[in-house]
Amino acid sequence: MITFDHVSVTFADAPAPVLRDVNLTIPEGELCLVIGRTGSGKTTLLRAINGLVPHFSGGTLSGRVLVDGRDTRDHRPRDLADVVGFVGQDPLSGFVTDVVEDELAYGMESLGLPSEVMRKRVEETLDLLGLAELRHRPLTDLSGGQQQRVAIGSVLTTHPRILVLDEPTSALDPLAAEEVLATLQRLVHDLGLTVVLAEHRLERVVQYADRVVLVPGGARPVRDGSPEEVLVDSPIAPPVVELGRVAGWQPLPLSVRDARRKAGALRAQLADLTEPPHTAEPVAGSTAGPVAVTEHLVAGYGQTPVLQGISTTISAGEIVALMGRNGAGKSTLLKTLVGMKRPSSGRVHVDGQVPAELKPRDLLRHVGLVPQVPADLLYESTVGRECTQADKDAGVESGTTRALFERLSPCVDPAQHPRDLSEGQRLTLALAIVLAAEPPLVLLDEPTRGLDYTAKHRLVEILRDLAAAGHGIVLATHDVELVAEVATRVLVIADGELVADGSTPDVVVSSPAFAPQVAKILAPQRWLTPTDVALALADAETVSR
Amino acid sequence: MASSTTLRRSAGVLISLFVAVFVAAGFSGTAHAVDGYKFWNYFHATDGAWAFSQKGASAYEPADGTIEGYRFGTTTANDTDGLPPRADLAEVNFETICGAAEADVDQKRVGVVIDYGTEADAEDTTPPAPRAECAVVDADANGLQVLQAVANVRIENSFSCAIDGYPAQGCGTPVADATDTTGEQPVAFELPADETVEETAPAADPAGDDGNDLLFPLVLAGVVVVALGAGAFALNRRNPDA
Amino acid sequence: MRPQHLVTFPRNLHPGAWWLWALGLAAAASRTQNPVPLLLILVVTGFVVAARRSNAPWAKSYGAFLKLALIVIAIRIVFQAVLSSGSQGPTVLFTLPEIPVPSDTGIKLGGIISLEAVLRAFYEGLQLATILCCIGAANSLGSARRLLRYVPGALYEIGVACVIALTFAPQLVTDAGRVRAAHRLRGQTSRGLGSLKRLAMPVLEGALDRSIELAAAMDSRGYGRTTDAGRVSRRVTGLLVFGGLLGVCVGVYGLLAGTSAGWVGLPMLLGGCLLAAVGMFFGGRRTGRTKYRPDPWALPEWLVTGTGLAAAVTMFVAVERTPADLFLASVTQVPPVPLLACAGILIAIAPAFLAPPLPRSDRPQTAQPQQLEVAA
Repeated sequence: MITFDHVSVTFADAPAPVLRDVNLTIPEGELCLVIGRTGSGKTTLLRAINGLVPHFSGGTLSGRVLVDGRDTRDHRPRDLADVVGFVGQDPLSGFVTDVVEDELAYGMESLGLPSEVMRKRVEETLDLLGLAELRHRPLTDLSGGQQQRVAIGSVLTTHPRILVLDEPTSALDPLAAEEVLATLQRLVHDLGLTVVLAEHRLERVVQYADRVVLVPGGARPVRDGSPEEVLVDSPIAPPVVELGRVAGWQPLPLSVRDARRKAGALRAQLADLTEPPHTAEPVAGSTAGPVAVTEHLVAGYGQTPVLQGISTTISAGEIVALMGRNGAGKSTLLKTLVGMKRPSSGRVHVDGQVPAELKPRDLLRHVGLVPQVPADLLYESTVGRECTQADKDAGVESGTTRALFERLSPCVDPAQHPRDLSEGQRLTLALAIVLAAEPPLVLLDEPTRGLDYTAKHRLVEILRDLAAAGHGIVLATHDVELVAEVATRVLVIADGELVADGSTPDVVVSSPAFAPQVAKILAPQRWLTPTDVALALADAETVSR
Repeated sequence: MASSTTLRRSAGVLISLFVAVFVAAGFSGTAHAVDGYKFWNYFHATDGAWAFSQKGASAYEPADGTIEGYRFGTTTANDTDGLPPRADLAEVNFETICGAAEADVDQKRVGVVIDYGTEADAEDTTPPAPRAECAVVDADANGLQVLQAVANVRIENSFSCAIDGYPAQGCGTPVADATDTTGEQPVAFELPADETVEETAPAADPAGDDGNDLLFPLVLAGVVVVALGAGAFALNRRNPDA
Repeated sequence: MRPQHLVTFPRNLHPGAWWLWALGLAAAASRTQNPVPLLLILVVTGFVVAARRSNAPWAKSYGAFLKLALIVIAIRIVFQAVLSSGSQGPTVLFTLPEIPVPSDTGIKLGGIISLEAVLRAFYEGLQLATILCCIGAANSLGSARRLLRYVPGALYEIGVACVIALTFAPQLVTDAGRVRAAHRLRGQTSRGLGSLKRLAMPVLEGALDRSIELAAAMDSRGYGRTTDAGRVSRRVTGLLVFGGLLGVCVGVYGLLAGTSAGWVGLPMLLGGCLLAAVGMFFGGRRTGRTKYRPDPWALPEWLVTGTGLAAAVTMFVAVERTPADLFLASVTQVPPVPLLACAGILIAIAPAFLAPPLPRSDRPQTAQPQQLEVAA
């Protein structure tokens, strides 16, 4: 169905090709998962399938890409619209109309299909994706998962044989992601569609994949094969695979179900060992008082309250994960903590101050927030200038931010434009800027969006260091694996109210939505990460020797 | 291919037609229009003669004992002298206009001569009879305030467009085939009678007598506006998501 | 009779009908400064919007336009009545302390405030505000994006440009808000030229990224696949349509301004219409796009358009017949009630009942209670 024949892609001002000599065949009816670190060329590979590379992006493509017998050299993306459906990362930015039904019809209108055909296909697609209820709804009113399903539907109406998706679940909460992935699986199984998707959060998708394509980046050769083969020694792997490696299971399990069936022995082996506590260690030498206190906090937009009476305390040295559905009030709570939003009633105190009443230049010494889009914080033209400006803003010795950034992300050329940094580097730059003023409370809004496993591991280390240094940290996130790895306490917000507040194992192990894979495999034991298991096993071994 | 050639040819014909129409229209426009404009000309009486004002009425402060003149009529674009009121300043002078009026210490008296122009410049109506009034105003009043003391002035975008509702609409209306009028004969002006010198109040409501006739529809309109507004509000409240 | 001819058959009215109705009212408002008809137009638009708006996000824009209208009036009053020396009349309301400014600038600060100046500024502001509200009503009753679906094939590219602009203008505003809030976190105050520069870079970059994303999405969904005519014919039709529209604009201006030479008005309008129609006919033939479920243009559409047109026509007739009622001779006079014009405006309230009711799913009161929230 899709054939890459000695394909290399070089962009205009790049010194080296993004993809070099890719040979790849994806047969019909497969769900093919493309994995790789950020910036490794995953997106380029996906876009080469429908001709966006090189027709839209520029650059040179050598070799040949054949899609359903059509050569992308002679066919522009629009000429492939009836063969390949392409769904980008942010569904909202790809919408052309404003109502679900019209959006589904847009592609067909462009192809000039007769209206009876359009009518029939729209109805079929609405049913297929479970969108019939939403047909007249404005696109902006839909939830993230619904939007993503509409985006999928809008390319399905042209009856493509191939569906290409670039990180379709990166912005979604776990349940919405399930919804989208279930839809995709149904398309593969029922319609025999060929689906190619890129995804960072392997734990969500790897179990559905028939084939995994690993794009290692740095123009090293692309590998492909069955998920078990590729993941054996892949540098990026979901927790279930890591646990499999730790336990030495063959073949590697890909789903919680597979792993659980193999885990009897491991559970028995672990039964006598104690799980690590996952609680905050007392901060040495500091007063360790609360860095933030909220009491009966109510805040909202206009008539609709988003937060409805939140009372909690955050101490120095804690890493608190804030979880909940999209729109549950996580971001609003962070905003009230930095004074971007005034509470309509109740109290917020951060480091003994009321954040909404602080002047901006005093605020950054008490609390810092890394926003969902870290680039919002950046406005200078080079990394170096960004750091100097941050020193000035924070009123600290010049070079402080630079040194912080060096420590968080070594080996970045200070003359680079912040836009050219990878997602992870941009996040650490924003974090360095925030940390320059040494705020006792550091907030992060969805820090792992777009981060690969390596960058995530780095982030985990950084957060642990910060907590050990006495910062209180709050992160709003959907990423259950990150929470399992790093959080010492979890707050779950639903409908503006605090529904759970406790140590990480207490809150997540029993929750179907928030439990990490390892907890699901080893339940009722309270293990959260493969690393915990590995360490405990290693300890037990040394003791027994 | 044949169809595309036909299309191209017919389009070419159409474009030339289009250009021709535009050019013709443009030429006919320019031929007719050494454009003149119809508006109220503003004058000061100095040394027994009318002088076209170089300033707008609101930017000019007439002195006590002077006369201001207004004349409605057509002038061409290259006319710089304006169209003066057809008043003989020997007969219509400060004494005859303001002789009977009295002013307080901090007030001044200014004569105002208003000439509504000729039948030719009126559109389907007869212009009102020319008149002269004495304005007794605050000592620092400007020309426009002086005029408003004796007449209703319709102002649009800071231009004085009509005096006493004449002309009923339009402002600086362009006139095709305009010619400058010269050598007009003076006409008779209605002078204020001794006892009817107007004080500072502007000309009374033109329909002041039948105020009730005017008030009833106004109240009705007000009721309709309030009712519809309340209805809209109520309907909107019923839709709670706003 | 087909059901779409029934005024009781629930469906969405053609957005074009709403826009024509609103433009009729706006045209009427442009021909008078008498507050009575202006206020009537204002409440008529408000009433119809309240009666027939959906629960879509754009349907809430009338409120925003109304606020904008109030701001326009306020600005007008401040600048004309308080800051301009020329327009003060004899009826002094009060005197503010005056700051001396050279007299030839025509500006004053403080000094006397007269009833005439305030009223005149109010009436002129009210006219502008009413026209704004008409546009707001059109926008909230018939989505501008939906309207652009009906842009003739020859103008399709322009329609697309409008769609993108419509998407990004509000997006820019929210982005700017977000970035400003983020800059506060860096200890920056959001004032001065420097802050504007800092704001511009991330906001514009974001907008650029998104437009590229949208373009990629449209390209991969087949946009422009069927419009493959030769360059010459494309240019020719483009020129025809543009020339025609230019003619229409000049003609409409000539008619509305009522002051220009005769040839600018009706002949120009008709000529422009003809040219544009020819261009669109040829241009429309070259696109192979089809339309999904086009809104029908049936009896209710005719009725709604008709009522808007009626309001405009009666106003124009009234201006011809009794100009003194529509252009006040003096702002202080009790405004007369132009019966003919008011009757015409009141006809335009009929769409509150003549436009078909909205289908259930679009009606505000039946919004799904379990509707998921958008990310706050």
